[in-house]
Amino acid sequence: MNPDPHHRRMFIRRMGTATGVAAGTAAIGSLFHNRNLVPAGEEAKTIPSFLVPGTEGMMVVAEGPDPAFAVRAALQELGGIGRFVKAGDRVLVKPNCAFDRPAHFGATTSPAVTGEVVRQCIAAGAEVRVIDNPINHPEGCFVKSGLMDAVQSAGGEVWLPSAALFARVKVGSLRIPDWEALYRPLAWANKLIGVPTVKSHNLSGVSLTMKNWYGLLGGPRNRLHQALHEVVADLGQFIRPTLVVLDGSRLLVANGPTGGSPSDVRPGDVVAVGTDQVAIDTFGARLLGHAPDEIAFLDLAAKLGLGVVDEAQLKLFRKVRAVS
Amino acid sequence: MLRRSLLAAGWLLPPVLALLFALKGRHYDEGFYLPPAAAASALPVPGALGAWTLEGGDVLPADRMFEKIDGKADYYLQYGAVELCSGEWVADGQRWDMYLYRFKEAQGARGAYNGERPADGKPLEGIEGYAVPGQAAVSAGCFYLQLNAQTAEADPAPAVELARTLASLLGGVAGDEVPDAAVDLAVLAGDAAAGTEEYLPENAFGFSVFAGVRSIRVRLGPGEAVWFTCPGDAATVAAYAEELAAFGGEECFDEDGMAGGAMFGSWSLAGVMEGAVWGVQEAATRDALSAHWSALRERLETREESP
Amino acid sequence: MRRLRRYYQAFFLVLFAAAFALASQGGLKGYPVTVFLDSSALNAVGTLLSAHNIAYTMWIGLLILALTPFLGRFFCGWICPLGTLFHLASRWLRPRKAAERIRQNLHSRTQAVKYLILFVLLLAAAFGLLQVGVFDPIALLTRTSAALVSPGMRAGWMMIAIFAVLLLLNAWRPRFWCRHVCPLGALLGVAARAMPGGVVRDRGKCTDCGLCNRDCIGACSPNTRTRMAECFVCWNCIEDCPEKALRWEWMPKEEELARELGVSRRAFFGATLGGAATVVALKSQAVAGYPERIRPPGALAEPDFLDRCLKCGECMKICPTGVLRPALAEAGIAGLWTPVMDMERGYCEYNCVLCAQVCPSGAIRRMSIAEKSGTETGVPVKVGTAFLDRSRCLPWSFGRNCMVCEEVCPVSPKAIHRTPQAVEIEGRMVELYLPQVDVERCTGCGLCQHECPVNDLAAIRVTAAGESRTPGGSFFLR
Repeated sequence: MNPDPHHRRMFIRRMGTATGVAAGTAAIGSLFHNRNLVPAGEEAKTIPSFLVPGTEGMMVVAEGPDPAFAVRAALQELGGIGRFVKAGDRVLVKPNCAFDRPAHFGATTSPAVTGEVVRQCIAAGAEVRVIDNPINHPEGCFVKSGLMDAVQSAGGEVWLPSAALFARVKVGSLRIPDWEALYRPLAWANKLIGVPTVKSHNLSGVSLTMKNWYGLLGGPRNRLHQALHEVVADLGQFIRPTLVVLDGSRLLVANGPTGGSPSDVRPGDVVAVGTDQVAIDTFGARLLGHAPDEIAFLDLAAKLGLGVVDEAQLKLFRKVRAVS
Repeated sequence: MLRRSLLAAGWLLPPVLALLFALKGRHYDEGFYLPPAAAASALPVPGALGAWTLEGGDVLPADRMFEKIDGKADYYLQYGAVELCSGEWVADGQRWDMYLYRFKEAQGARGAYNGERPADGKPLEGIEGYAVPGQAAVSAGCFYLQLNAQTAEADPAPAVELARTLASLLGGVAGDEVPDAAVDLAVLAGDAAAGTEEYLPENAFGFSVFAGVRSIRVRLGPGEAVWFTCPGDAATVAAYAEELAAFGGEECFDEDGMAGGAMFGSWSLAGVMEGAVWGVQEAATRDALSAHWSALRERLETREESP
Repeated sequence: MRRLRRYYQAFFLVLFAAAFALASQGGLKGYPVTVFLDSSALNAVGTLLSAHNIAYTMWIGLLILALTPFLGRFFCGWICPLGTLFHLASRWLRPRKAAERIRQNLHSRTQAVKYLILFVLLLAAAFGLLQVGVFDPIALLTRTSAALVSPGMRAGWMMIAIFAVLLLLNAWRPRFWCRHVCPLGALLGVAARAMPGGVVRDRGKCTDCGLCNRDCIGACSPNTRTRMAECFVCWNCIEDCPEKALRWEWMPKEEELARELGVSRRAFFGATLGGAATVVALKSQAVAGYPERIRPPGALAEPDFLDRCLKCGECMKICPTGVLRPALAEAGIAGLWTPVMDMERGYCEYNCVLCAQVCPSGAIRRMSIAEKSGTETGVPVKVGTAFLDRSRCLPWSFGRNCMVCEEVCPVSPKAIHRTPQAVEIEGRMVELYLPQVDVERCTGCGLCQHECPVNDLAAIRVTAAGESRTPGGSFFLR
């Protein structure tokens, strides 16, 4: 034993340092050690319903050559836009802007209808942003379809998708419990208006309201086609819109969903506005000459309680002529 | 001096170049998309139908219709024509020029069609249309379709078949029916009809409440007047009475759901009968107005049901 | 003069940046964004030799070349944005001592190398091998900028690395590239030899202090006789001379001017032989037979395309989907860095001809959207053909419905059809849709390949076969 006190102090100091380092190692090790090397997935977020209580089960069909006027007429019949959108609301508008086509090819929602919806919401005192995650180059789609001009001149704002806007969200109960979607815009908004157009679709027969929510998804969505009808019904569960404005001013009757030739398009001169996605999609399917039982997702959606196929079961159903 | 002005020019050159560069800018880039003005409206008919194919299909908006039918555009415009779709239907040796007018309303299409219908036109069964050598025409929904042959004597049979197919497509698209009352205005006036029928899509006779008006000039004992009808109800008549009074109408009256008065020396009235608005315009005196109105009412009540 | 020159250099650098930024994915909107590429006389002369044609606004380069015998290499000293960048780098990297700077700016014999490079490039171009774009300063800067703004660009690191090395070389010799390498400078230098006047030295006043070389940009030896082919007409020497011994004269005596290039006969013959060997080697490579050489729509037939493509990268920069990328091996050695399509990265946008709009040399010919999509003629421009790989296709091989390829196909009627077929899967009758490509309608846009859910190697892939730019390119008997 060395009785030197210096030595003892040094011993204690060195032992203390070594113990500290060991303890630090152990702490870091236990903090980061994980037997399960599969990274923990982020929990899927829930999108609330955008439906205004008390407005369920409504649909108004307005026929007329001026689609913007028809939208106004239908909204009037529903009790005015004020019933759905209040001052200070943040309204997200989702048109169909999936392809980089000029508007008259019918592959995208007409600028007239989209612009009118934006104008109505702004007149009601809301802030309006328009979003879509198209198949083609986003800016190109908005510019070429005329929606960019229509939205901006109506006082709205186009929100181009970017990677930062996406997150995993809960979708439906049939095929896709959760998926990458434009979460941030959906979280920003407290009202959501779908403005689909009437198109034939190579796989689901028709592309209308519920199929239009596909444009809110990201990720490997090209896999969804393997069970498209179930996925479309899931999309109906995913979004409960404040309002749907189905643009039937012209109908893409062939070569859907892209179209590409004027001969694929017919004038439709009709819009359907309401809150029942299934009823509106049934109406749209009829415009394209499909009976409701030919379109599998309508039945699936009705069974899920998303709406009714039979117009007679709606709380409010009216047809108006909109000729100025 | 020369050196200084050269230097000054040297300092000014870049802004000039920048300006030249900037002046080349445009709002639209045709390499990326077509400016909206160039985007034509869609053809309401397909490019091919059975053996028929459509060549040179084109859509002209109302203000450019004269390019195809110079001098006749005004006729269609007064009926509320929106656009003219044209092209040539071709099938094994057959060539028929299509003139397809689209109107704001079905009544406009029917009006323009009636106005051009020749006396010897052979009616087509089942649809509103006729055929004469060298021509077939159909009124379907908001559309008025003409198919004209290259020669005036051509047998219209193939065109009739084509017209039928097209009519079924077009009628389905527009989904609009012509109200009964509008069709037989000329029949009502009978021998007393003094002029052609007219269709006034809106703001008829200067009243904003009258839209979709069909009218005809009629000659009776006490003088000429214009008979008219349009969709509407008692509220329309009330609104008309209000407008008449507001514009300075004199001796206004309002009785039994019928209202009228005088303005600028011409008498007019309107009332509701058989679910539509009917009335008389441009009568010279109050007596003439009454005479016309009773004649109109009598003929409407006693007319035979059309088959 | 210094202030005016810096003003010009700053202006043209900003204009270049603005033009580059304006060549955005939303379209050029009419701005002459390739005005600098058009101003390069090397590009104009090179394509004139190879393609016997000067495209669009490339006459600007010839105009500058025509002004050079009067004004000297004003383009190099006052306009060239790459020169300005190297100028700035030289200023940052230059030594502090004036004596050091004077030594760096003495004329060097290796400055003659650029004339050999020019000669070989033009010789090759005359024999139909256009490589001027590899060395053209504007193409180089455009390409590098494109690589910088699109980080995913293949071979982008290569272009950035080359640029970084060239920047650093300015520490050794200021404006190393401009003095020793640049073939555009060489071309303008050859023209500047014919100048009637230049900077002349008054031997009586000169004290041989050497200060005229301190800020000499072109290393053109104003301390002896000014080499006209090297002078950048900056007039720094005139301003810096403390004795006022240097001045500009329009008509000096011939012996006051140095018109030689400094290329030795031996070097010249060597370059001729080397150049000829390179031409023979590169030209002997086959033109056909590169399935992945899918050119942008509107690209001329391959030999004509190579006669014009400057490899500037403008098309890759402007492409909205990013489908265009520089070729490495897809187009042979002669086609290095020329644009090819990679359908995994993007696809050819149906209503878009931006690459054709922006191409300065007409390698991708200008055309309208209607012409590309064939909406008027019925004959679309076809860049290739989609081939279905049935062994990877979900319906064909795995009994699952998919048809994404048909859904996204942008032509009307669609170029992908389906055949319904009832098959039994796990005891259940299922109606399967089997895709099939209609080769007559397919434009090869690659959207089907890009959207195919089979993600590492798509079940439908485009190759260049059947491209419409090659006469008789269809592999079908009509």
